[in-house]
Amino acid sequence: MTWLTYRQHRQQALFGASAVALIAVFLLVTGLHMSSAFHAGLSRCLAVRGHGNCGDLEGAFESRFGTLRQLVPFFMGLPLLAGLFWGAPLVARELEQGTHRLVWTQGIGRLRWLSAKLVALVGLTLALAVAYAALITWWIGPLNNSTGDRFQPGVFDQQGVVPVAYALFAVALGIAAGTVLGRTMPAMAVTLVGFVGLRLIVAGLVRRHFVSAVTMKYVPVPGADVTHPGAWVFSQRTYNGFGRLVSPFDVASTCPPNTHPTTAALDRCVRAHGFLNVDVIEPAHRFWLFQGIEGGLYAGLAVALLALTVWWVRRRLA
Amino acid sequence: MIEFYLDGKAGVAPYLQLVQQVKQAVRVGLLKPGDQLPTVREVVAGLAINPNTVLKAYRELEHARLVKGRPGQGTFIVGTIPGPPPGTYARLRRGLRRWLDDAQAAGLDEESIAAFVASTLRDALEGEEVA
Amino acid sequence: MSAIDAENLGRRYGSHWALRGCSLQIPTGRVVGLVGPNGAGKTTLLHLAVGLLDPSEGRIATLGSDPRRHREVLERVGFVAQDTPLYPTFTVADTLTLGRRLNRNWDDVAARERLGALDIPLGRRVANLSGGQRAQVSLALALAKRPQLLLLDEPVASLDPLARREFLQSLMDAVAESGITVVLSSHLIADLERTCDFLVLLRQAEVRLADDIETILARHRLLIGPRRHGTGSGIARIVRESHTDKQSTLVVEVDGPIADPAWSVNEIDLEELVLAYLGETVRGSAPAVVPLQRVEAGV
Repeated sequence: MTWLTYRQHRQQALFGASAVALIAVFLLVTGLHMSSAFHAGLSRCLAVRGHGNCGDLEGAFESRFGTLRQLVPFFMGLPLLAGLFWGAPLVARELEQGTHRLVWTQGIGRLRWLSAKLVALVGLTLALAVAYAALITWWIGPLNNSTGDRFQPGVFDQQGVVPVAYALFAVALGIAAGTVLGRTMPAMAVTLVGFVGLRLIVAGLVRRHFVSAVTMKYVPVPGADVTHPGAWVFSQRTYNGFGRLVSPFDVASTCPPNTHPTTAALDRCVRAHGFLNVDVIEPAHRFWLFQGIEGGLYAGLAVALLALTVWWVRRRLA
Repeated sequence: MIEFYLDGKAGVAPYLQLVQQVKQAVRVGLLKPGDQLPTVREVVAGLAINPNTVLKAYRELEHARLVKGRPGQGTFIVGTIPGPPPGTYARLRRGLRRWLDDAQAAGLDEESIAAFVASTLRDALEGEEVA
Repeated sequence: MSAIDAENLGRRYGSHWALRGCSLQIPTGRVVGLVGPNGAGKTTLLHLAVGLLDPSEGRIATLGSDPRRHREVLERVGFVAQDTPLYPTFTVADTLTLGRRLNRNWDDVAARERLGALDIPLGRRVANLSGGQRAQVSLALALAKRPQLLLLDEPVASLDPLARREFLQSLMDAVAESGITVVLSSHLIADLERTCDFLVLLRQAEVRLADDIETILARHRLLIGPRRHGTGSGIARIVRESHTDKQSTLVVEVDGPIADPAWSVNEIDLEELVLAYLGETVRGSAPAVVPLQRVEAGV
């Protein structure tokens, strides 16, 4: 069965592995470049002065590597490609061509046939996805540190553990759709819609509710914006003494730094007017917790879909 | 070596056709005692017919003492089909001519005579088989 | 042990029964023809026999075992599905390797010899083979595992006459060589007449005939006579009847000599008999006035 799985899917596997290898080479080359540029000066500056205060260096880094950041969204499609071109045809092709009537009436049974294929495909996906995830997490490090936005939607999705879970989910969805629908093209359509739809829903609506956000209230300091590097910022609002929403500009114009020369004087002015900053965030240290929850969610769905596939092949296709 | 053929529309069972073809070959001297008949596999592979058909035909020929199967070697002609004594054909022809004149005089045309002969022959053979 | 033993076997899809109340025993050592119109249940029966389908009711045993519960029995059963499915991108050699890897008993040498004798190149891709060559490869694949039973679902349906004849030659040669039991479904009754000695006839999801061909032919007669109903001693059952204003033609099952001397009693050939069963007169309906189905030569 190992031979058959290999012989049947060797082109796909080869293609996929070479594509990942190409991407890996690209990431390695650009990553090393970025990393050395980052450590040449920006990293030290950020460690000492904090985000937002290394203006020139940050600007220079951004202009050099900002375009690479734009490539990142394309990588979101990789798990989907695995689902479409590896997952969907796995069982569907067999059913379409009628070759299941050939291969299920040889000496092995359906279950051994299916488990050999699933183990091979899921195993390969897992291996390639882990390698990819490790590589891209390393690669995106400097970009993360320069902007502190790794928890933001879109960037969160690119690194850490979740790319592996997305890949497993996409492949499992493809396999299940192909098995239930019995035809490759409709299965690919379902996989596309299902994957994109779920990713949008989870990233857009569900993720923020994994753990209740933290609300921080503090007295604003005019002219000095508080950033939350590495956190997921939902909102940063400023209110005046009457509870009305105001802009930081209003604070700065009410308590201008030049008429209040000392920080203590500024502070007294702001407090007197009752200005308050209310930031709703997910703190940076929750990054890996969220990665784990989202990864677990997608991985759990993948397992459920694979179980559906096994059940379908054993019971429904008979 | 004889090569068999099958006429699907002949109305005669396949195994009987094989039997008849062997008998005819012996009759005209194409097969002599000591000659080997094709093996079952050869016949089957050539005609795409059921092996049992060939076995049945060969069994019937063996029963008629015309052939003998030697295990491991094949099936061989061992007998002859005795021809009629000399003068038989001439005598029969004369009788047949007389009968034909009789039939024509009675008003039968060529087709009716042929059909009549065929059906009578069939009935006679059937009677022979049942007996 | 029967090759296939079915008891009240049935299979349905929703409310539609593809096969129903099927009870039969197919003996070993025979070449069995399976006939019936499209949708009669031939493919369903074969798929039930190799465990591709589960019965909705009843049971089936192939070579004595339930093919779903005792999958090992399939190692002794060769199966060629309709349209002879093969992997198009595989070469012929790859296809044989597939068989070798998935089956415990495998006679690779014999398979290669068989294909070599047919001039089928081992290095050619399956997609580039002709229909006849694909059928031969499928047959070689099924035979190489040295099965006791071989099931074929319309293997020659889409082949040209030469390819068809070559396929049947290969098949009959295999039967002569190893004495395997063969069940062959087909539309072409002329082919079945040459090759089969047992017939199973399905119509509208039910078994109408299942017996030795010799017995079947001995048990049926074609009766022609002046217009009348088909009753009287000797006539066990009317399969098909047609009447003009002057003449009646009946295909009947007999259980003794036909007493009524007005009937001309004729043997019937297999093709005509099968056609009669496929167009069976439903019991209870009035005889229709239809043109004569068959004109007998002779008097």
